[in-house]
Amino acid sequence: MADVALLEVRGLEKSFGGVAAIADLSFAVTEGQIYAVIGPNGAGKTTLFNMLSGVYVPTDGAIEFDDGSLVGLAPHQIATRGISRTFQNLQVFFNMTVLENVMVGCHLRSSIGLYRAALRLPGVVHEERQVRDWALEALAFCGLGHLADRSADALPYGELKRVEIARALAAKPRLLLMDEPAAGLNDTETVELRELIRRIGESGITVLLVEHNMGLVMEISDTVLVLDYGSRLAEGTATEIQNDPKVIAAYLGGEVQYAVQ
Amino acid sequence: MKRLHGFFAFVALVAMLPVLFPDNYFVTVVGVTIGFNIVLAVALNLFIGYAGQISLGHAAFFGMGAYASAILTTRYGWSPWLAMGVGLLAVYIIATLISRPILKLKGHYLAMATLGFGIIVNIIMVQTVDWTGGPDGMSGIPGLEIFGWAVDSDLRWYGVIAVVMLLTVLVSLNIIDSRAGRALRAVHGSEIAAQTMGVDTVRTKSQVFVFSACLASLVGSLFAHQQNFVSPVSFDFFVSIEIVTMVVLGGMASTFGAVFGAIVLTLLPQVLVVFDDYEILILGAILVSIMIFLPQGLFVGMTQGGANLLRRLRNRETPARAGADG
Repeated sequence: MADVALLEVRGLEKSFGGVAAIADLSFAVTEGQIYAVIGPNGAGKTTLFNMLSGVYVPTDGAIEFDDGSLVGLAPHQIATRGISRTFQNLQVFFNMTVLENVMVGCHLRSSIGLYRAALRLPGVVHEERQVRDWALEALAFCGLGHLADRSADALPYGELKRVEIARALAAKPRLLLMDEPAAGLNDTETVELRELIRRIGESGITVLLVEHNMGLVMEISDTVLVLDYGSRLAEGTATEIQNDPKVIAAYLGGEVQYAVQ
Repeated sequence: MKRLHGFFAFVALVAMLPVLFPDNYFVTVVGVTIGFNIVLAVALNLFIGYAGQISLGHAAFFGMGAYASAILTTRYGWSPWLAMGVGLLAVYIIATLISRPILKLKGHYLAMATLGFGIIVNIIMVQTVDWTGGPDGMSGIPGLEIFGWAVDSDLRWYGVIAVVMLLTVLVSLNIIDSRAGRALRAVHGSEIAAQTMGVDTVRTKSQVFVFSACLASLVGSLFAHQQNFVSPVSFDFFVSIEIVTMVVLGGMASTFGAVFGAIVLTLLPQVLVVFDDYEILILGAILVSIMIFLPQGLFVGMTQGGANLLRRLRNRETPARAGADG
């Protein structure tokens, strides 16, 4: 099948003061896939994410999304292309309710500006209602409907992580970037998260995932990319990756390679 | 219209005061000053309380509006309304121009930059004697006339300022409860998350800074016509600090907190004059105590405290009722 790449990264490079965090990295994510990026700590996963979402500008290379380049765009411009993300360290708006957090996710699907809102011109009330419905829908999808009116700073960590996912989904993205969604979750929460990611994938959203939890990655990913020292070590299906001697060596150390052989 | 219940109660209070206390100095004279301060505090609260930024130079915009009205009406004989409009336009342009470079700064650096801006504007007011009259200020500024209705008594000024003040409060409530208001609070909560949701944070901050400056300019023009006199001390560094104090004292990120802060901080010195020389000491002690015991601010702290108390009372009742049911 001739799958079309939704996201294509070619020859990507990022160095900080001469140290390359990402070096000559190329990969492509097909539309509708759940694509996981794994690698030991310091392999450059978060750096890659920050480039994809516009926080960092690449030193070199190309990032194509849906036939348009993302290089040099600010984060809010990248959001307009249909890319949304969650964060490894929580970036919840703690000064708002859960519902309001998710309503911010609808920012680009709505248009009322400061002056129209100030005068509450016709259309404001209608749009508010619409945004509220969208946000409630996203909350329900993530199993948070009952927490809508709670203040975000009163929620436990696991639920806050799902608030971030709901907020990102409320933007109706084509590509969802998830930075270590399972970090800090207990086993039950991880199982719930797995089901949630699966349903996100089934709803037609392409997911790019950075994750340390191998169980989760191997169960849900269509394709896995392994990074080591900022470049590609291996790419393939979960089974291929699990049996790749290079990957085993990188994760478990050189001696194990002999043991496997 | 549940979201506006508090507002309507406030409108009723403002309308009732001059009826209940006719010819009362505190209502009609101090009331007008409170009105000016409420507008300034509510406008600044959008920028510092909600968007989480800081400005220590907001009195400069208040002063620009006032001086634009003073200079254009007394030296050039313009109509007050035209002068007010031109002052507003000038402040809009100046605030827009300085907002981009200044708002790249954060925290202490933003405080320093706005502080510097405020001081520079104040120095210009003092030094350009030919225009502004220098430290002595300018007198003879005409009063205001609205379609032939002269605003020539304390009570009439109370009415005019009350309307402007109430509209400002309404506008602030409208903004906060909207997409634009959520974008402001998102910038405060997490700039990076706001950006990834598509909020142009630079533009958002700049827009609310300019909006807040424009409100200050408008109220500055009204101030000039109401006082018939302006001088640089009304717009110096200490006034900027006072407006910030009103916002913080009442409770950040709460429109009625800013209203409450402005009322308290305008009334307190008036009440404390009976202590003569000790006035400023007692004022300071009161402010420090409020910040120690109600760090979220007077209004926010008290309403939260009240809500907690209610909840505790209700929880105490619930088991009893459950027992009765069983």
